[in-house]
Parts: sequence; C-alpha cells; structure tokens
Amino acid sequence: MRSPRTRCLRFFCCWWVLVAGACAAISQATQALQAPVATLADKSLSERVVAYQIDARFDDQKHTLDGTEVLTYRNLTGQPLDTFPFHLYLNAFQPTSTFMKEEHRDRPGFKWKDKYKASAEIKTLGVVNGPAEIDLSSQIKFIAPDDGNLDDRTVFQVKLPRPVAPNETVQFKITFHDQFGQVFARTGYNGDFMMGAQWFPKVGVWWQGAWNCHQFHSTTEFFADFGTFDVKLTVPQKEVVGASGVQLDEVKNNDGTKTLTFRGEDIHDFAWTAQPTFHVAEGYFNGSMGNVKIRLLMQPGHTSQTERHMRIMKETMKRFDEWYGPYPYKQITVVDPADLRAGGMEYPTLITGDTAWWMPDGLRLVEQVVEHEFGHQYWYGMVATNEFEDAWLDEGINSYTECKILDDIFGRDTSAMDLWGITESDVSQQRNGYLSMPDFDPMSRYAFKFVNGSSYGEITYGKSATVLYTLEKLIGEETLKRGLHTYFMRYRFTHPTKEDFLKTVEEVSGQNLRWYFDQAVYGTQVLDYEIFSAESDRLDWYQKNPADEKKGETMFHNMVIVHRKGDFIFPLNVLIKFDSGESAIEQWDGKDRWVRYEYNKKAKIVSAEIDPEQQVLLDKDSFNNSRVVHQNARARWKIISYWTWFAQLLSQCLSWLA
Amino acid sequence: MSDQRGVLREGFHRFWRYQRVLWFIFFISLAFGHFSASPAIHKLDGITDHSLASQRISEMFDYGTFSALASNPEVKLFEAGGVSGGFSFVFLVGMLFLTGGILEAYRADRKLTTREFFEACGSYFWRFVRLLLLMLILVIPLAIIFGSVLSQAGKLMLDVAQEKNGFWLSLVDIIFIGFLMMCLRLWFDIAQVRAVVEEEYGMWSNAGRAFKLIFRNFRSLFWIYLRISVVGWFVFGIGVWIWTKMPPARFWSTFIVLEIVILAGFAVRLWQRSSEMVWYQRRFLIPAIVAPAPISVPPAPDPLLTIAPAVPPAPQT
Repeated sequence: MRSPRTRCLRFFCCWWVLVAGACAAISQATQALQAPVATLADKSLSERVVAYQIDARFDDQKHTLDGTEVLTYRNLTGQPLDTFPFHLYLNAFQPTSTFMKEEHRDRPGFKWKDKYKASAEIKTLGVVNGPAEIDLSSQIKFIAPDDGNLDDRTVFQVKLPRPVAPNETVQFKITFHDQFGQVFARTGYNGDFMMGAQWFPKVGVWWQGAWNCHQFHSTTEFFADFGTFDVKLTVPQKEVVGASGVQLDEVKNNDGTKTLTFRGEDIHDFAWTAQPTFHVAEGYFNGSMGNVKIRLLMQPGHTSQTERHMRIMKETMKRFDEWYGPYPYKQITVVDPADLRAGGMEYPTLITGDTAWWMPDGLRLVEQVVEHEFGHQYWYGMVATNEFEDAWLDEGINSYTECKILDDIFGRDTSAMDLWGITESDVSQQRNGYLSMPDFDPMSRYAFKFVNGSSYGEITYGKSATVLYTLEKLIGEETLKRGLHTYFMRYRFTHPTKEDFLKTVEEVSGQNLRWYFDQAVYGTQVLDYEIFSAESDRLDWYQKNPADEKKGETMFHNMVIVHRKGDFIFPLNVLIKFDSGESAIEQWDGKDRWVRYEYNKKAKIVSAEIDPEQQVLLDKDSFNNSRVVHQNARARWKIISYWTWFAQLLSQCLSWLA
Repeated sequence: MSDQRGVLREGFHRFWRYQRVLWFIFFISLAFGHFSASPAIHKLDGITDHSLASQRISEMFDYGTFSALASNPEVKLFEAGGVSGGFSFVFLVGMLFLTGGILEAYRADRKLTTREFFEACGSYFWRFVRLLLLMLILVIPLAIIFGSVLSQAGKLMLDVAQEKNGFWLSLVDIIFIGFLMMCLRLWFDIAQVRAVVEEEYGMWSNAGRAFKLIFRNFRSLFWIYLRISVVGWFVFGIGVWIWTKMPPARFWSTFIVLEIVILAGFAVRLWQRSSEMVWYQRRFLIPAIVAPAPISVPPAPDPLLTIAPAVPPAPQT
C-alpha cells in the first residue's frame, strides 16, 4: 500500500511531466512556426495560405501511392468562402481527358497506350468542424471550367456546410489513392525510376476575386498558393529519394520500408523522385543568404557528367544571386531522370535535367536545361505567376535570363553550340523558334488557347525572350537587369500579373513603353524592316562627256531607302558608310512605310545597315537589314561548297549500288 | 591465301595505270554536285551577296544564322534538296553504265581507246542493270531491317535506363547489316567481273556461279575487300577530322579537303574493282606455274682433285 505522501509526489511528478511535455510541444510548434528549417531566412517569406501535412506510402511494385492529407487553409481573401476547388492532375493521363485530347490534336502521330494511364482517386474528404469531422466525400463534384469536358476529372470542388469567414482557417482531411502510369509528361515511372509530381489533391488559388483552378492542359503548367509542406513518404528501403524542401528524418521500418520526413517552406508545390540506383553528389553554393546545398541525383550511366551539372548549377546560382536576387532556400535538388519525358521540368527546390551519356561538351543541352529549370526557382518558384494565363511571365522571362546567363558563361556566339567549328547562340535558337510561327498568337494569350502546341512553345519561350532582348535596345541592358531585379524583389512569394511586370519595367526605365508592349506582348504584329536600296549616282549624270570618276573628287548623289515590310512599328538607327571612310547615323521613328536618306558627297555608299548593333532581334529577317553595294559572294559560295560536297557524298553512297 | 599475295598491290597498280577513270568519275561527281546546288545558288544570290548578316556564315559558321536563312520564306533552302536526290540517281545510272568500261579496262590491263571503253560500257550496261535489280531484291529487305532496328535503338536511346543498350544495338545493327551489305556487294562485284571476263549473258546463272565462288573463297575475297575499305574509312575519318580543325573562314581550303575525301572514296572503290579483277584472273585464267622439282646435280669435280681413271670407261650401249 502506498502512502498519501507518495501519491502526492506521484501526482506532482505526473503534473510536472505533463507541463514539461506541453511546454516542449508548444516550444516545438512555436519553433516550427517561427524558425524556418527549409529556408535561410529567419522568418516566413510568404503569406503561407496553405499548410499541407501528407503521409504517403508508395508501392514500387504496383506504382501506387496511398496517402492522407491534412490541408489547413487560411482564408486571406477578405470574404467568406464556401466552395473549394482542387486539382487532381494525375487524372489527366486518361484517354478522354482534355489533356489527352489536346495531345491528340497537336501531335498527329500520337497514339494512346494503356501504360500511360494514371489516376488519382479521393477515398474520403472531410472538413474539420470544431472537434468533429464532417464527411464531404459525397459532395465531390468534378468540374471543367475551361472546356466543359465532362470526362475530364482533373478539377473537383466541394461545398462546405458553412462558409469559412475571412481570416478563419479551415482544415480538410483527405485520403487518396494514386495509380501512376509510365512517364508520359513529367510524372510516373519507368523501370525502377519514379517521378512523383502532381500527385496529391491541391487546392486552387483565390486570385483577382475568384477561384483560379484550371483543368490540366497539354500546354499548361501550374499555379498554387504558397505555404508549408510536411510530407512523410514511406518507400522501400532500397530507394534513393529526392524531394522538394529538406529532409528532416529517416526511419527504417520493420517491413523493409523506410519513412522519410521532408519539410518545405514558402513553396507552392511538392515533388519527389525515387530510384535505387541514383548516384548522389553534393556541393554547396555560398550565396548572399548563406550556404545552399546542391544535391545531384545522377543516373549511374551519367556519373561522368556530374561535374558538368554541378558546375553549371554554381555558375547559374552565382549570376542569379548577383543579378536578380538571393536564393533563400537551404537546398536545391537536381534530378537526372531515367526517362527523358520526366526531364526538363521545374518544381519548387527540385528540378529535372536532360542529358545523354554521349553528350559532348560543345553541345550545351545539359547547361541549357539545368540553367533553365533552375531559373524557374525565380520565375515560377518565387515569383509565382499564373502559368495557365500568363505563361510567358515564367517561361519567357526565364528563357531570356537563360540566354543572358549562358551568354555570360560561354560567350554570346557559342552559348548553345560550339562544335567542329559550328557555333550557335542560345538566343538565336529562341529567335528562330519564334520565326517559325510568329503571328498566330500574342504572348498574352492563355496557354491553353493557343492555336496549337507549337505556337504556344515558340511564342511563350522564343518570342518572349526575343521581345526582352529587343527591349534592351530601348531601355538598355543594365536597366532591364535592374527592372528584373526590382520585379523579383517586389513580387517574390506573390502572384503578379503581366501588368505588374510591364509597369515595373516602365517604372525602372522611366519610359512609357506601352506602344512597344501593345505590339509585342498584346499583339501579333511582325517586325521587318529592310534596306530597300542603297545607290550612288554621279551629280553630273546629265553631262554628255563627264570627266573620269576620281575617288574623293567626283560628286555623287547617294540615296538610301529604308522600307517597313512588317506591321510592327519600331524606331530604328540606320548606319550608312561611304568609301571615304565617313559614316552617317540616321534615326527613324519607323512609322511611315518608307524613308529616304540622301547625301551629296564626294564619296559613294559602301553599305547601309539598319540596327547596326544588332539588338532588334524581333526583326524577322536579318539579311535584308543591310545592303552592301559591292557584291560579296563568300557566304553563298560557302553554302554552295558544302551543298556540293553533301550532294557528291550522297551520289557516292548511292553509286555503291552500281 | 598465299596464292593471292600481291593482289592488292597489282590491283592498285592497275587502278593507278588507268587513273583517268578516277578523274573522269570525280569530275562528273563534282559537276553533278554543283548542278544539284544550282537552285540554291539562285535562291541565295539576291539575299546573301549584299547583306552584312551573311558574314556570320562566311567568317564563321553560325548555325542560327544559317538556320534562319534556310527557313526564310524567300529562300526555303531545303526545298532544293529534291534536285540533289535526282542528280544522285542520275549519277548512279551513270556509274552503272561506266562500270562495264572500267572492268573491261582492268581485264585487258591496257589503255582502251575511247571507242573501246564506251563500247564496253554499252555492251554490259543492261546486264549490270539486271544484276542491280537482283541485288536490290536482297538489299531492300536488309535496308528495311536496318531501318527498323535503328528505329528501335533510337527509342531505347530515349530511355535513359536503356540508352547505352540503344547505342550498342545501333552499333551491332550497323556492323551486322554493314557486313551483310559488304558480302552482297562483293558477290555482285564478282558477278560483274565474271560477266566481263567470261562474257556471261545469263545474269541469274552468273549470279549463282558468283555466289558459289564467293562461298568457296570467302576469306580471301572478303579480306581484299575489307582491307581496301578500311583504307577508305581511314581517309574519310582523317579528312573529316582535318575539316573540324580548319578555320571556318577558310572555306575554300576546307572544300579542297572535303573533295579529297570524295576523291579517295572513288579511288578506294576502283581499287576494290581492280583487285577483284586481278584476283579472278589469277584464280581462273592464268595457269598456275608449278615449279619443277629440283634436280640433284652432282657437284662439278674439283679439277685439282680429279684423278684420271685407271680403267677407261666402258662404251655406252
């Protein structure tokens, strides 16, 4: 029998343990709220509208995932909300989805295969109402806000029993089951490689006074709110895993699995990848906010390219840090996927590259892709524009910064290729892409409303980069760099619109650029100016027996006509060179259809050139931008010589049959 | 193989003695190459010759500028590619025509008159056309197999886990189908040699006999063919390597290097032809000279040691 004193002591001890435990829990919770673990900042960087807690178990044999998701949503919209839309994007990989219909429309050779089929199914969906949980599973309703396709199950919505008041939080509890298909577009498996993207129910964004939750289209990417992600992922112990955020914990389970705990902060999506044979390499970039860990997950056959990936990552991060702003996350994971269809994609703090074992150094594909996807950490990851409605704001600005950074690293002429004496710049790739379909769609069009996937790609990436390069001509390279820096610092961790960007550029440059943006961003006009003629005629042409022509003595009437062939109006410089060594620079507002420049000089025209600095890359035809009076056939003969040789080689091969 | 020693050397000598055939073929090829480029010349002259932008092609080789030029609606350079295909076909027919004269020259091992040469060309042309059609019956399925395996290899190469398998598959495809194609070519080369040397008219039976011949002498014949081919591949590789090292602005020099590669390609093919002719003639036409067995001759008597016989020799009966 125990004495009362002992009971009292035991009560006191229990009470003390409870209090201590509660304090520790509160302290931990407070720490979780206040001290970021996944970023280098000392406080939260975004409004954190959402907090996802996901516990998921991946079956690598069946390629399925069963998960429970607790989503805490803060209503910062300023108005009560009673309906919530969710993305369920794995359902895009079904033959009747809008995504697949668009694939079929834009790719004539495309054939549906059952192995592509993937699905995400909501098992239960409840909302926490005080201590109780109300089951809303029966309230789930699939909607198709973009095209009304009743077979598309990529967006669903639920109506709550009562609205969520402004500044109130609501908590959803969702259990779901994913069936992954073979990688078709950036998510799924191939062999033992797994890319988990768009794998959990993700709430839409309340934006500009309405829910913004588009269906998944073949050309579109994503749009979501910032918040925190606490993800527990259970996978077989053999797997090497990479994920968004940072890994906090790893526990080995008795059933041959392990549970990895990740936390992502101030991000708006969460992706992961797993493969037993990933080769892991780590490095650090010392940025302005501190050390960032670069974690590379390379394919076993690509280890020879590890250093190449690491080098471009560090070079890119250095320039982004110096030019546009700091990278605030503690880690960036770079995945070299086992399937190229999972390659070249961005997720917050996790990107996928694209390479092949034989890739020579002179082909910069590795650098282009890795640089581009890292750039998305800024233009999409932090400046989280709406990729459905303003795709050029992330892809276009990112293509521009990709070109600038690769130009800086490799040189302007060799930033895409420097192989066997053949060179190509990254920006000329972008420009040539644009020139292939220049006038079907404006940059400002919704991504899924372009005439087809090609137009979307060439305009959103190629034209946008070219438009920004041409903008340098108007405001200067350094001013545009400052504009991008201001735009990044001002709008990071928010959802800016195209007008936010354009106004920032106008503000920083101090210029009214509306005339340019109206044509380049909102219009489909094509820019094409040409030197129509450049001629020199003797002033004494009327004399029957004129004196012999003498250089420096005979007077000539020199005339240059510049012609606007396209419907895009742009001010130009025209440089006219004379055989006396003199030159003249003319400035034309480019508004009329043509302009004539005349000079009476004791010299003849040698050449006339529009845009001598070659900054107006939007000009469709760079060959008609200049005219040299004396014929120079070297380029033609060079092409002809190669053509002749290839024709001979073809003949020689064919004559082997004789 | 020992009886075929010197075939390559003699084949090379015959080829060299009648090298005017090589120059003739080379200049026809050059002319055809130039003709096939003529639509491109006309498309380009108004665009590149007076533009400063063309310096990015002449002074370097900027692929972006070239690509923009090639896809320019006023140029559409690659639409002229069909003309090159047409000229290549005409060249094939021309080579088929010339083969009779070339083989006749190698057979006779003397300088043919122009009349003799072209008479031989005409005389064997239709026979060689029939042989070509026979060969195509085998080449086309091989080409289809080659293409489909290469396509599968390409698909594998897209899958990173399989990309090296894809590479090896394509390499095996190239080597295996290449080997079969070489065997086929060798077979029909010998059939053409037989048609000229034996004055065969029935091409089916000629091909059958050539097949038997190849089957029985495969090692020696293939060895001849392969060694000369290796020389050709080596020259091609060296030529292309030199081309990659040359400054892009010096395109006339690079053109000369590339033309040497073409010339070497024709030379190698003609050397193969002449060697096959030498091999055939040695094998079937020139009787083997059997060296007589050495006769043991008694050594001449040393005059200093000669001792006169005591008894005079008996008279011979």
